[in-house]
Amino acid sequence: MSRYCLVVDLDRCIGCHACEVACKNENGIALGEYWNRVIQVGPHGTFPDLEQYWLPVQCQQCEDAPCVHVCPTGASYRDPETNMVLVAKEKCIGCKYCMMACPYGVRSWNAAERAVEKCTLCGQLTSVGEQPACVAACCSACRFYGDLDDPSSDVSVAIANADASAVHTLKDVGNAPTARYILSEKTAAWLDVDEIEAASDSADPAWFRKEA
Amino acid sequence: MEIQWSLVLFTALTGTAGWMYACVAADEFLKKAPKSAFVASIVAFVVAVVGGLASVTHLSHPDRMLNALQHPTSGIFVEAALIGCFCVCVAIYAIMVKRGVSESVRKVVVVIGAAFGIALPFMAGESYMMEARPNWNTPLLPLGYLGTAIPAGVAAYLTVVAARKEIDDAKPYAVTLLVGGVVAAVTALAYGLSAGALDATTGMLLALCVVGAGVVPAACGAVLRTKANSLLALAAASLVCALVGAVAYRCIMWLITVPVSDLFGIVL
Amino acid sequence: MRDKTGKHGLLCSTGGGGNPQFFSPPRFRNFWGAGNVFEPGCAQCYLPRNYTMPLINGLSDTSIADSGCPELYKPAKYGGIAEVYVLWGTGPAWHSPSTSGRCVAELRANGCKTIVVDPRFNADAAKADVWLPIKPGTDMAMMLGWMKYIIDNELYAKIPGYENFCEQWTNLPFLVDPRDEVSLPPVAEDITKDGQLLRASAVFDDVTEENEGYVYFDTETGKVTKAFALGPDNDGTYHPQLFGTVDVTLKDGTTITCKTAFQAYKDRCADFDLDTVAEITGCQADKIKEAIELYCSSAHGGISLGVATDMYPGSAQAAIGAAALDCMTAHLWHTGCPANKVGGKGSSGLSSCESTIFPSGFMGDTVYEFQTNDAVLERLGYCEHKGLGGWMHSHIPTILSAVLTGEPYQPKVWIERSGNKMAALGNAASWVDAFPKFDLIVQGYMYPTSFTTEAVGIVFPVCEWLESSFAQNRLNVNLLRQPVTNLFEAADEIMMWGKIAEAMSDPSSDLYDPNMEACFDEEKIGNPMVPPYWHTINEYWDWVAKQCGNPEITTMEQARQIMPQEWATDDEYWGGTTYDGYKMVNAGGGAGGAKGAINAGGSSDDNTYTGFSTCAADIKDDPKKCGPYADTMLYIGRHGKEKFEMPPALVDYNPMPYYFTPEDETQYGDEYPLTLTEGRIPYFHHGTLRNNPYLRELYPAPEIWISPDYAEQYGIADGDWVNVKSPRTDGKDVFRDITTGVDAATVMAADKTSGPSEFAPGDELTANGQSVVSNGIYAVARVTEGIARDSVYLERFWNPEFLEDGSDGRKSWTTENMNVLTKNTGFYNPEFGTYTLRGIRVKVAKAERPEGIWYEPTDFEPWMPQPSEFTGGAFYES
Repeated sequence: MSRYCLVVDLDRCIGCHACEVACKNENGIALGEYWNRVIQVGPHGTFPDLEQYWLPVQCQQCEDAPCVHVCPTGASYRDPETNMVLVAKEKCIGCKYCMMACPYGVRSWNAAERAVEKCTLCGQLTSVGEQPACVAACCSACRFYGDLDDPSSDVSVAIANADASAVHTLKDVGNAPTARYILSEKTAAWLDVDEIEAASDSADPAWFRKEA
Repeated sequence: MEIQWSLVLFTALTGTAGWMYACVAADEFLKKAPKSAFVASIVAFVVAVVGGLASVTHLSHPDRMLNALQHPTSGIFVEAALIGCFCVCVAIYAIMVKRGVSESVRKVVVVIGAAFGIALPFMAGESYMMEARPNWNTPLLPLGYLGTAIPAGVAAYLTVVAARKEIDDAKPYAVTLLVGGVVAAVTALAYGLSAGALDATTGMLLALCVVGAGVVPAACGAVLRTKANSLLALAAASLVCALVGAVAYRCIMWLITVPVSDLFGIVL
Repeated sequence: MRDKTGKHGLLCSTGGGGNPQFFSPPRFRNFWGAGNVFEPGCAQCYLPRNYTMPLINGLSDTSIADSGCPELYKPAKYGGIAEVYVLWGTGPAWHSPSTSGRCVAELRANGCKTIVVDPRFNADAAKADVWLPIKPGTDMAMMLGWMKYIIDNELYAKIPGYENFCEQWTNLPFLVDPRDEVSLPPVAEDITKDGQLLRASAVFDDVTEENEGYVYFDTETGKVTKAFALGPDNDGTYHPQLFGTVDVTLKDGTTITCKTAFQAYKDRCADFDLDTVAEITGCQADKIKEAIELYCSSAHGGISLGVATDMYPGSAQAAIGAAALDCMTAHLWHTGCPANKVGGKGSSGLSSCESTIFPSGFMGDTVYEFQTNDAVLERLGYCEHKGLGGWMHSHIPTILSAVLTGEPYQPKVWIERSGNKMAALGNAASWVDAFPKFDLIVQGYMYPTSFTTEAVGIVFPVCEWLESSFAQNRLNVNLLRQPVTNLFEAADEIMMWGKIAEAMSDPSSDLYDPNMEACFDEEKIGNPMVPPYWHTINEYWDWVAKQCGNPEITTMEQARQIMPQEWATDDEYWGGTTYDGYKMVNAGGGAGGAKGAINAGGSSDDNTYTGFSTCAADIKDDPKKCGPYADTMLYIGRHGKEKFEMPPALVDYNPMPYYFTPEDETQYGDEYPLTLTEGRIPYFHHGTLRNNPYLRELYPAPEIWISPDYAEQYGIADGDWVNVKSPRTDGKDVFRDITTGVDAATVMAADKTSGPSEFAPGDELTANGQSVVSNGIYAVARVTEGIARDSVYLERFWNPEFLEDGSDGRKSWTTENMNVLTKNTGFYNPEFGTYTLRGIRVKVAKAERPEGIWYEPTDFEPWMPQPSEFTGGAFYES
């Protein structure tokens, strides 16, 4: 089987948000809706010895995807050919169970079409041999796309080149996320997503996301 | 997370219908309250349908529901299937009651329907158990769904029985109501405390739930044992309070949920 | 205007984002013959580094945002990548993520150590080996501290592999003439008074103006000696004394005691020990020491100085300081150095391309005399601030004063070719009363801005960047930005200038002006670097195509098919680079030769090493040293750098950096406790794109970064709205009359020889205008440890939503615009007249979200693009 996903090298990511905008442009995402966001983690530590990194997040292509399990209509499904987790919007009844079931909150509600969406790994591009828009637009060359089960893929090479201790996944609660993050201790200590605390008590969720 | 009112009403009403019908089933076997069987069945049917329809209002594309047949293992499909089967059983039973079909056949149908009805609130709660939502991901959650449905269902049934003036046949249900209230209070409290419903809003809702679904029905049940003639008032009061309690319980669940992470920062 | 007040009534401006042809305004002004040009950046952004650093290091400025620092882009496979890199007041990750941001990410990934000197914990700081959270405006103190540590610990002689560089290749052993009493700036009258370097003609009978040179003391011969260029024949004979004093007998028989230039530096930085520097800069002494030692651990690297220091009156001083540090520590022209000459020759037969359109006089004169020397001298503030001549600009505050007072002359017509001056000009509100003084204000821009509603009479809709065509070389590749479908009815900005000129080029027209006719005449211009204007856009595009570096390309149609092209292969370009060329005979000048390579570096002959050329214009025997002691700057202040001798500036251009406490701190520090810095965010370029819905969704309102301790003190929580005020919004620091911008010797000032000057300003002029912003501005608090102590960070912003129908347009620049806080008053540095955009003081208070701003993502929906049919325009035909 194949395990297509994104790998992001956080040692290189410079928090420019180009992937976020590229995603919106390519996929025509409405204002206030997201398939991909970049979260700032930090600064943590004692001034001036601080740590900070940026965590770009999108669908993690879970091997045991909760969204697929809970979807009543098969709108969220695993593609039999590519093994990718995808959404068939035309089947979505809008129950939003998949959004509740996603451990990372990286599914998006398309208000205009009243259906759930998420990162598709830019199938419209990758199927013709191009890179996903976020990868192509990445300013610091920190995003990689490919099949983890193919040792020659960009993602496999990126992981092979990284120290094993620097390779992370978002917190696995049984869903087995495929996407990988590379972050070495030199840059910052890796925090599980449920350990990322808001640096503030701001009630504004958008603001919280800026400063997790 | 915001309270999903359609789902609150859906689970509260279908649970009430399920347990109401369970009482019908019990009396079918106990040969009690025969005049109430048909009416209670119809009420349970209507409440279940209304509950089912409430859930549909939550959907943006109910027209695509038939796609559910493509994924029959999802929690929502199971719920929908349970409601469907339940309603069919209730409807058939009501028709059989009306047409005087033989008891033995009726019993088969009523048992199956009651089983669906009892399972309904539990399964509704169970469908929310997901790893992504740690304080939903406990059996205490569906047990609370189940528990809070009992007094509402029993009280609803007793209200019909009282209206059909079969007060004497209601005697065994005084204890049932009492026990149901206690079960509701215990299960609601167990979940509420385990999930941390202790802030001003959820704490108040939990108290409302314990009193509404637990204390009031239990107290009414206790009073009924000596004052059977007050059945209508006590049953109606229990019903209203139990429904309020069941709704409060479900609201707690929505308000209290904290996902593993919510990286897009979108409040559903 | 021409007939009533003369040609100098013209004012052209640009800057603030959105102008691909940077030189269009001075080009038009020069054709026209007189008048002034400014941009809000220039003296406050890049010019000080661009002008000063090559005069110090003999190579180039090291702004990774502007000059490019190509050596830093070298792929690791070619070896010799930078080993230590100092990002001083520059944040490539956020100012230019896709180019220099990527470049520095590669350097880090390949093991380069980085030091970030920045008040902000930005993306580069987050990944640095050492972060120095410097208090805004104290960079020169930090530089002097680095110098003192380097001198005290003799690190200049311990740079691995380059222990003799400082001695052999800098002008630091040269003797300083103690007779030269330099005039000192009013903000730093207590600094050491070392002046120009001693001229050899004062010492040796056989030295005259024809063979003028510098002087050093040779420790082998024990003699005062005329400095000479090193070469194969004399290598090893140069033994200069680096520190101390030398008694020199002049040829008139008198004896003077001269310091070496390095001794002058040692004296200049004597007070800046690590603890003092830590106190001034807010950084920790041990971190400063760690940074210096890391910096000196390898010569393969250096300092990239960012725009931060250009944004306050220490601009020239910091540029000297950073370049001088690199000179003292041999961070020049080796593998890995930002200051370098990169690129071997290509074998393709192509040359590197460039389609910037230069003004007359910038790269050689024209045959036809478009402007007189007097017209150049009449530029407002130029005589005092001669560095402005580098870009042919004038001094902004002197222009403002002239507009408001009519002295020494009245600017009457303003052609502004850029975006939102209200967001880009310091103390923006001080301009409100200037606008009615003009007969006409014209703006060429992509869309209306605050400036449009506030000031403009006629708007020329000009193309977006991607609608325009531009050919430029990057590294070994020639690139062509090709015009895409017009987004709306607009023309390339070059047509705006050309059509104005065209209207005045017809001899039968009342508007006729001979200069405007001449600027369409290639023969009259007679300089291939100064092309005439074009009548149609297609003619211009074909001209651009001809600049593509490929002689076979003569039309845009061809260029579109062929471009981009490599003019050299990677191997030729990187593998062919000559490093350490200063100690070679006839070393190549890097990829140079490129049109626009203004600073070609040292010249060579067979007998001398290539060296560095930084000496003052009167030095004829060039000793070919890099010049950390900025004798050349001092000389320019006294003589100018025009083809004619200019009168001296009132205040000398000091040859070494000096530190002075920011004026806001000394004058208003008690009431305004926080020092403000600015700095890029990845989403916006200058004042542009605040009307881009996807970007405003990311960053809907300006953030003010504030440390937790201060936030607590002011009761501010993260995400709170905050009101920000400065002495400018509160009417305490009002722009004043500084009308003498023209030297008394020029014709324009014939009947004006006295009056207020910038050193003794007259009456307040803009109290009324500044009262418009008396409520201060608003920003969202980000409470973060990632900001220098006692400081806050706030970037430029404006609110195009207030330009929508039915809105109060003025609010677009008064609500969230940091530049109403900044300072165009007080001290302007002598060299460039730089005013104060950073290191100003502010106060903050908790506030409510201002009414009418757009903030939620869906608020920006009206700005989502809508397709339409082609509506015409663009001058496809004449």
